[in-house]
Amino acid sequence: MNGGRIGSSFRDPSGFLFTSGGTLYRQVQPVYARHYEHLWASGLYDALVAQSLLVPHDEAGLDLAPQPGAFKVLRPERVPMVSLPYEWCFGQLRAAALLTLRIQQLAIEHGMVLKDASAFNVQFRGAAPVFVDTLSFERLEEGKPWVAYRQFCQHFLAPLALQSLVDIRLRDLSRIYLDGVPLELASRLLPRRTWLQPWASLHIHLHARSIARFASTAGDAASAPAGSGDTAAISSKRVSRTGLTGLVAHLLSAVTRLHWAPGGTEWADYEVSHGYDSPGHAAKHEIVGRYLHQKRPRLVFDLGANTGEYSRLARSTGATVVAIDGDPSAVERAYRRFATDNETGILPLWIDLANPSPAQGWAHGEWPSLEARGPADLVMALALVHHLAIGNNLPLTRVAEFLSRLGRSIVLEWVPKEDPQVARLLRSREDVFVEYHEEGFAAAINKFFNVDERTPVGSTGRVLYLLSTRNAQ
Amino acid sequence: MTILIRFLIALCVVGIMAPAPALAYIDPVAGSVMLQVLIAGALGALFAFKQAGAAVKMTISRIWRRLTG
Repeated sequence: MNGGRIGSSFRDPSGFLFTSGGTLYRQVQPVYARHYEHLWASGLYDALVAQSLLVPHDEAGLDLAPQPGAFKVLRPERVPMVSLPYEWCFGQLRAAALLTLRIQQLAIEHGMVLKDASAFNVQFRGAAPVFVDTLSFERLEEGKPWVAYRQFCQHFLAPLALQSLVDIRLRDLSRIYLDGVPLELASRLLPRRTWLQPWASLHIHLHARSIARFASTAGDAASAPAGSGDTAAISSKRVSRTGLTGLVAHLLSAVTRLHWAPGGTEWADYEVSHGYDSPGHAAKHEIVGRYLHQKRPRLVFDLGANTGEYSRLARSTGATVVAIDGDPSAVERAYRRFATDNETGILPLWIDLANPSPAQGWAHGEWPSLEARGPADLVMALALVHHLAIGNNLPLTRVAEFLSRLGRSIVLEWVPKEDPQVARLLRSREDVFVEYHEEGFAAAINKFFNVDERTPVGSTGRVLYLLSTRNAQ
Repeated sequence: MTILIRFLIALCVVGIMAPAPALAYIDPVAGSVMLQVLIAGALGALFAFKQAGAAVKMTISRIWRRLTG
């Protein structure tokens, strides 16, 4: 994404995103002109921006438009780090759903409506969700059903229900189904008792059956030729404004009811059982703080962040931090704490580092991989390498190579085999890791990094390294 | 000529007054629209009923506060 059109911005004919000279722009096409003007004239734009629900933008010169005939060129405020719905914890998806519905309510009040309800239209500034698609609003046509009802249910309600009522790990369905979890699948996976809950029976179970019934008998509107009987029958269906408001209110009440309590996973209590005595913990804190001040990074990836203790330390130096962890409970706890504190500089993400987000979507170009959203100025990999090397059988050279692609500088903690945390990983398995010793580690990192500093952490046996990636730009 | 100009002006006025073209680029899906049409009336009524209930509750509590305060 160094310049040109943004890979995911091609479905909506109203406009598209592009970058030029490192700045993000949005070309608005003439077909959207009336809606854009109503967004302003109705006061909806001002209301949304005043409540921090929508990213603000200013208008740029039309000469910047990469395609002729632009109606406007906008310069939207950029979020520090793009995150994707399949990287969010439960609380983040829930907050994004509530944001979308709140925006829909405000839009209806201003005579507009959301023409799509994709989770990809939401980004996070720290713990605060914000809507980023200025072209999602269209003028409300009295009587017209909400076009994005199914999309909202697939992108938000079904994944939230599955995570809350079946298993939190079903979050990963969103990584496979980029247009949301099919309602028929969600209906099949949800417990039968959910038929007794009006929100689930209406918006998921009956919704799925209605879609299947009309797909097999009448044919979908999309599959019917324009102007044919089926299309006309569908387009003649009417929903009053009160009905639309009631539908949105019911969805809002459904999302509000859905909860997930973190706990019971491997690393949920790591902060109180991380293998450090207090002096060791204080020493690590002091050394990491010193390294951070030395590098003064603007963007930090904290890998294996747990509940974000060191993310906060990095944030205190002025950096924007992406706190990544593979444990849903740890990320959920971090997110809730940051949300309570109104933290806008730390973005927690639930990502399995042994299988990080790949390039996704059409032609591998819609949604970027984690690596493509870097490199960060600094990557923190504290108490992480042993999990990758021993927990996932990853050779140290491969770990070092991947880290060198993610960041320009690395703060890395070496944890020896004698450490109780490593012993725990080896407790039930054969020790086949003959190269797992500090000399082997040093040989691996020397292939990709210059060692700026090496500092033992008190008497713990652990060592902190400050590394600079070779050929870092 | 005048008739033509009048016709063009009328066309422009009609163009401005006409409802904005729908930009529904996503498929609403027939079954989803049908369900929405079926349930929206009831959900709208439920919403209106709740709003009215909340308004009555607020009025009663305001009167109560005035009487007791």
